[in-house]
Amino acid sequence: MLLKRILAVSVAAVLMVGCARHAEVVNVYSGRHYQADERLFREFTEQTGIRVNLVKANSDQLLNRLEMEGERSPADIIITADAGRLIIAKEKGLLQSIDSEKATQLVPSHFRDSENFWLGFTKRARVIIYPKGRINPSELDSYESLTGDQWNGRVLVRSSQNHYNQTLMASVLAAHGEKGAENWARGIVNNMARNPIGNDRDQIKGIAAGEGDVAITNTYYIGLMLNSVNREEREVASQMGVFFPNQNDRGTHVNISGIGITANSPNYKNAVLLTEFLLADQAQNVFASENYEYPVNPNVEWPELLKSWGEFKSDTLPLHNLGEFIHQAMITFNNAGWE
Amino acid sequence: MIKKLKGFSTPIRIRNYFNGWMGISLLVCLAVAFPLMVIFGHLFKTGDSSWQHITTNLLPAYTINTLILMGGVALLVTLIGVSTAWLVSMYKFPGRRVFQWLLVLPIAIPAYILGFTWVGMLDYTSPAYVFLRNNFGVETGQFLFFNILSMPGAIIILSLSFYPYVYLLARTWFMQQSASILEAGYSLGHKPLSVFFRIALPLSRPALVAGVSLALMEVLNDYGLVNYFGVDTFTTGIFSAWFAFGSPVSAIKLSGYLMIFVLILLMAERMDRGNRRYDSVGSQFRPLRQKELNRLNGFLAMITVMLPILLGFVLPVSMLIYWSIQTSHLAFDHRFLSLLKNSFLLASLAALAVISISVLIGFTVRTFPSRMARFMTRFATIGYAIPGAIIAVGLLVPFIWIDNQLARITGSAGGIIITGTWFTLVFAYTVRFMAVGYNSIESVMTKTSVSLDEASRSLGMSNRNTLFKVLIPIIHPGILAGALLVFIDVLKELPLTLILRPFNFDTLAIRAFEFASDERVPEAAPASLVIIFVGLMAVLLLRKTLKKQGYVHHP
Repeated sequence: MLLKRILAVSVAAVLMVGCARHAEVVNVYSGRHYQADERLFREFTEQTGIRVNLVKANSDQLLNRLEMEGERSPADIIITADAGRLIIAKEKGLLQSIDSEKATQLVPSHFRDSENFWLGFTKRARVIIYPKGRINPSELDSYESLTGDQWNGRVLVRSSQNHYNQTLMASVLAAHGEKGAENWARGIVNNMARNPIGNDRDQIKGIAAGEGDVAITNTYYIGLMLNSVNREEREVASQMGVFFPNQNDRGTHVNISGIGITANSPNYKNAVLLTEFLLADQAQNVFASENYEYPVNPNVEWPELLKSWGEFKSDTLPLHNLGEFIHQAMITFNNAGWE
Repeated sequence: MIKKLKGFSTPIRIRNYFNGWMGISLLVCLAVAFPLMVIFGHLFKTGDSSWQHITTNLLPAYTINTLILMGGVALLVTLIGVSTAWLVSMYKFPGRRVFQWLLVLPIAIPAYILGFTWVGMLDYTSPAYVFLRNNFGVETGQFLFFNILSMPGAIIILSLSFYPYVYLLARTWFMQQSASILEAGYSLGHKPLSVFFRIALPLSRPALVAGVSLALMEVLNDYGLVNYFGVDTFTTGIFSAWFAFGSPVSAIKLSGYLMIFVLILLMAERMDRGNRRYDSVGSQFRPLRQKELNRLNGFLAMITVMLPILLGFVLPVSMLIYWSIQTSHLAFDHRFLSLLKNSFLLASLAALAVISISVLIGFTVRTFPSRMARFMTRFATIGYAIPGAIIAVGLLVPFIWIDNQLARITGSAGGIIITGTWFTLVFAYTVRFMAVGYNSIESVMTKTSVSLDEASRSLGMSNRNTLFKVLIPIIHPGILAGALLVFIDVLKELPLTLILRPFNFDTLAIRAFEFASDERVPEAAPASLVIIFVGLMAVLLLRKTLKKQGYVHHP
């Protein structure tokens, strides 16, 4: 009996998924899993009547699924939390140009693909975190300066498996070439306070625990920690300063969360509408105030916390130029012995 | 069994290969093994430039790390699992009856959640560390006591998660031992320890091997925990090949090698065990009577069984409850109920599928033993060691092909019909968790004498009646235990669910993972707690059934 009921329910579920296709929809594969994103999608549905269907998973796996599904893929949009993945998606022919005047105007050209195959909707600066009081920010300068002898045994950074580090490495490769980038990575490895363990938050806590003195992390983790439910974590974050490296040369490395429309998108028009929605003021405000990411839309005012870290110069090398370096990044890390 | 068969004439041997049972089993095994064969097929593809780099620079270190991790976990789960199972089966001490159930509990906690929780309990901002630091000036770096994000840390956490596999199978085994065998040992002058090492341990070998091999396959499969702990294993290598080098081909090739490695391990164990049989031939089964322990030994026994319960369940769950209270306003929204429903239905369906197939092929191998039949089952159960994300790739190949054919036949221009539905997910779980169901069913079948089947057949019962009227009523508890394990495993499962799920479909494990992977561990606590709670309900259900069956003895 139970078996019959279970079968009936699963058949019904399958049918329901099948029927949902007839209404106006846009199908999203997303490598981001923030609740703020989902709330924005619901808001989009309310405003336009277009239903957002969502699958969230690791962005590499989603790209692979997209590739395997081929021209029958139901996906319209792919969202990733890293520019490198979108560059790869374009290389594989999984994307098409986003035909939107609005979007092109709102997103600065170095944060989108040269042919608009993808574009960033939030910015994420990879910075140097230091303990206020213990370290004077005047001692800090650039990613490169962390390889100096005075930082021996004091640098905290996570493993080279991490996408943010890989795209940072691509930008270093673009600036210094293979040889120079490998030397930089070797210098950082020499100065590491410990083997790379844990996530970005763990690097910040490592500073508080005195295991190291500076950490390379994304800024929004400080924002998340300042708003943590754990009092001690808020305490730790409040002791930390944010330093934007390379202000005297190419600028701080800034990655994006980006969006691309799939090559075989069955609901192209709706996909463009959703893209524009994510770039408009309302959504941009939510990303900045709830996730502490930098809005990509220059018209949107930053919340207080982001303002308090200060204005900064970001690396203006167009992110799409990193394409040729993204594949080399991991090899350089390995050669330098960065675990 | 094998020896006897050799005496038969050829027609019977042929009949062992060609009959309805074999045919259906073979078909089912083929279906289950198909995604694995896709992975296997990649072995013969030529590698790209990343492949070259990975095999020369990374693989040696990854392989050594994996072997160390496996060795450490094998040792620790055997130590914890067998010693606790032996104590609760053989001795009376305070709280024994409660402990024997509590010992199973860590199985309800996904390994990565246990890992995140323990890190949260020991790291710089944890309540314990803050308290010790502020009141006693304890400073031990970022983590209290020792750096948990390390190889030893990973071994301990994985062992705490997986020892129940060994414990559960070993305890069932000890409970089913006739007291007379052990008493024979005592009467021959052996001390309790010597009875344990000379009789109980060798006798419990099939259970032990089944349990440890489940634990090790889980270890090989794990990515979330080793990645977070910074231990580069073979599986990390697979994902590194895929994610960092952008080379799915290399990732699948590596998985193929992993499969060969697991196959060789399993075959070696089989060959070593050879034709020995472990069923009790004697008819005078008498349940064990637990021996009283004196006060000191009783206390020591209590401490021994309490330790894994405390570290693997009570402390982490307390921490999760503490976090849940802190974050309850965020967690319990209107969608929580649908998460629960999805998780529960998926787990039930998968358990049903795995167990039906396991009983079918288990019975076929038992009734028509042949080398081919055994190889077939080995191959179909190997999915347990393959990372879920890779199985997903192997699975998408045939499913998308079927979808394309369906579209061609119906002439529809539309999208995808079966890929990304419940059916895909349940199928994927079946590929992934066959070993869990099959091992427990095989374990009870081995324990049940084949002479029962022979008696049934000689009384004119058909094979089907022998299975349904004789065998299944006897091995009922084993079937339930297997179903329970699969149910809990699916409840905890992550990578397959993430990538294969339909649109707008979430489970509890996904909710927990999403928060944890955003480095928001406290927010992951409520969903984790519900996973654990549903798992506990499953354990309770099992207990009730076992009691009815008379498998729990109350002296």
